Amino acid sequence: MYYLQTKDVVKQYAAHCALDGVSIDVPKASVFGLLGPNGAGKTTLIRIITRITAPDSGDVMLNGQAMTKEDVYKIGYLPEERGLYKKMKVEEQVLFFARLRGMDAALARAETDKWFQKFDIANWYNKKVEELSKGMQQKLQFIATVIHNPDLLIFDEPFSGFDPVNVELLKNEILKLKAEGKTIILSTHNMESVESICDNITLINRSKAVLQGSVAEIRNSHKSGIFQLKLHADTFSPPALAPFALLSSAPSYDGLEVRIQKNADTTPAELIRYVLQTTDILSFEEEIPSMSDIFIQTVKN
Amino acid sequence: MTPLQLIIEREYVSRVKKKSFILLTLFMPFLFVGIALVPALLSMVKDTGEKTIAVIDKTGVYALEFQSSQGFRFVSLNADSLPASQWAKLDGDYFAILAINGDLSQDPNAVSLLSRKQPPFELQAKIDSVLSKKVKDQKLEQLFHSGIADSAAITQVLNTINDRSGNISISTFRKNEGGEIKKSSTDMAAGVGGVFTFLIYLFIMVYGAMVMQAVMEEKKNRIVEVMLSTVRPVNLFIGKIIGVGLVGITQLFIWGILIGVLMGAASIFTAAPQLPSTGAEANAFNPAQAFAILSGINWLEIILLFFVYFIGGYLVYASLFATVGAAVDNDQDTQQFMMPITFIILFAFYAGIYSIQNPDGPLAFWCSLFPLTSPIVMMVRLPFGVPLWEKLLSLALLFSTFLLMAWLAAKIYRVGILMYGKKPSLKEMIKWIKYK
Repeated sequence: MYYLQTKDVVKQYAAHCALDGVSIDVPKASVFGLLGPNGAGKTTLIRIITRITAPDSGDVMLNGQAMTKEDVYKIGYLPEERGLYKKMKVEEQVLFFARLRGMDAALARAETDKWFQKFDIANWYNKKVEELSKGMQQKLQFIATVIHNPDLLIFDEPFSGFDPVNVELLKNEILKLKAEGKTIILSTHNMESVESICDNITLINRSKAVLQGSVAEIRNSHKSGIFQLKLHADTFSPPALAPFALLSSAPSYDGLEVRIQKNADTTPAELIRYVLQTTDILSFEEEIPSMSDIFIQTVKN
Repeated sequence: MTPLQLIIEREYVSRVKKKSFILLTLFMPFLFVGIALVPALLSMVKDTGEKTIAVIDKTGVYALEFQSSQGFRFVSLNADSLPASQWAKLDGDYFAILAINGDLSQDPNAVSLLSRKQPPFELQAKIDSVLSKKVKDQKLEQLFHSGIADSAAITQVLNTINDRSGNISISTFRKNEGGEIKKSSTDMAAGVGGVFTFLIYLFIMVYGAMVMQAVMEEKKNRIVEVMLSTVRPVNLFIGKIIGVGLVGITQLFIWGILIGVLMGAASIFTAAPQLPSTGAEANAFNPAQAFAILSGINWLEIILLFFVYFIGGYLVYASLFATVGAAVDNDQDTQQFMMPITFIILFAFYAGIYSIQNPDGPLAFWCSLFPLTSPIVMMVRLPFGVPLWEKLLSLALLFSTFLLMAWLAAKIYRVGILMYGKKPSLKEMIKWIKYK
């Protein structure tokens, strides 16, 4: 069941086409990565989902239904550029956003308390936003985004500006939200976090969705048949007519580390058999490409 | 609360709570009243002696009505014994000369007051009330003698009495050091018009700029993206303008009340010691009443229209300013876009000042109809009396301009608020209006 879908969304600006028929399918209760180089059209897509701008053509479906004006209350959006009213007090600010999205004042107050405790900023209630450090403001903005308990959360670069401890805290909160059944769209350039928390991704390049699917599948399908082996030998030269090529070999204190690339029609088992003909194998591992590699490779092509 | 109400509330509360707003709102009235009262108090301290006023009454009807009291002594002189050229010499012996040249019930302008110093307010008020009373009696007597005392005739007379045009109007002249005689510039109507014009000018500038700052702040902060994911741009736009406008009205309201209270307190304070000495209630000096009689100004109308023009002018200019705030994202570009707007406001202000001298001239007329200048210039003309159709036309133009402007501005705002990094040309802004 997809919670959010966009179908052939097209957005044309005066000078260029920002989105050219982009469709995405975001399953319910999952973390969905929206990737792409700068200027690819991610922000435009997010603005269309949040109804800040309207698409020229195409549909946005929420829970199987065409999205309506009232649905914006079900969305929590954390834009990349942090925006808070600098002169407002911390608590007032969060309450304002909660009420703006249709939350009852008393309930909003209770929720604010809860989040402030969780993020350890309870003693900042009466400070003005401009007095807070950048990290504090980031936390506050995160709270302002989730305060009204929305079903769909859109985070644009949520980790930028956070120290590693707070990145961890934030990741855990995002996973907790997912466990509660929320659907999360994460737009980020931090590929490490994509690998660790995203279930599915869409890579947008030059206004088009060029790569879509689950993170595991995509990484598997981008395997290039490179294996890392540690051998019990001083030197290694592949036998004649071996179904693989030696890429590199380097001695280490407990063996010889080699990288080999197998031929396309060879299985890993055959590979092992060939190597074992000459030396013992201490370890054997297939290299799975990182999202970062896949990103660069896809965008370059 | 709806999102629009919440936005208005936020804009309003966050501004009204500011220390600078509270201080300015509470202390400005003291400053105003201080500036207005200090000269009056000083003149009271100096002028303890009795002033003698020569009354030269060619008709002989009015001179007897003046009873000496409250520090003023009236002396009747024979007009024939005194050629006009010699009047000037007299004011060494007399504080002022009151000349009545004809029947005031026929010609209300046939009276003038000449003095070396600025004639005190009380003197003008006293002369006015004495003469008005006599003219009223005269008119009633004429009615009595005409023998037709039916209700229509009485109404007509009452109307003439109450009507501003029927009131006598004293021209005051001052003689300067060089012996030249000039018409005194203390015309109440001009003063009142000037004050209201200045107020509207001030508020449009200050609060219009405030709206622009608020829009720019949201844009620069990128908070606008969070807001727009929840509310429609037009709500944000309207909420901002109404919220800031209400702050202006609040300030104006508090100023009005405080100045009223302070003036009232001041007049009780200054008038009280004189009351027991005169004893007679009829002679008690009431500044407010004197003010109204003296100027014959329709206060209710002026204050009502002031609010209507204030609101209309603010709305038109605030829409313009909000559009500028949304279209640009740095201070340099702002200056460039603001210049034409500031220029028009300044033009309106100077046209207003010029119109004080000539409230029925072509400049005053056209500027009080043109919607971008009318809120400022019309204020000058109102105390002098403006035909109803002109007021209606001017207001209709003003408010339809606002509707058109708000519609265009909201469209530009909606697109501009999300555009960063480049200065839009006018051509581009027109293109934005056409976007769906």
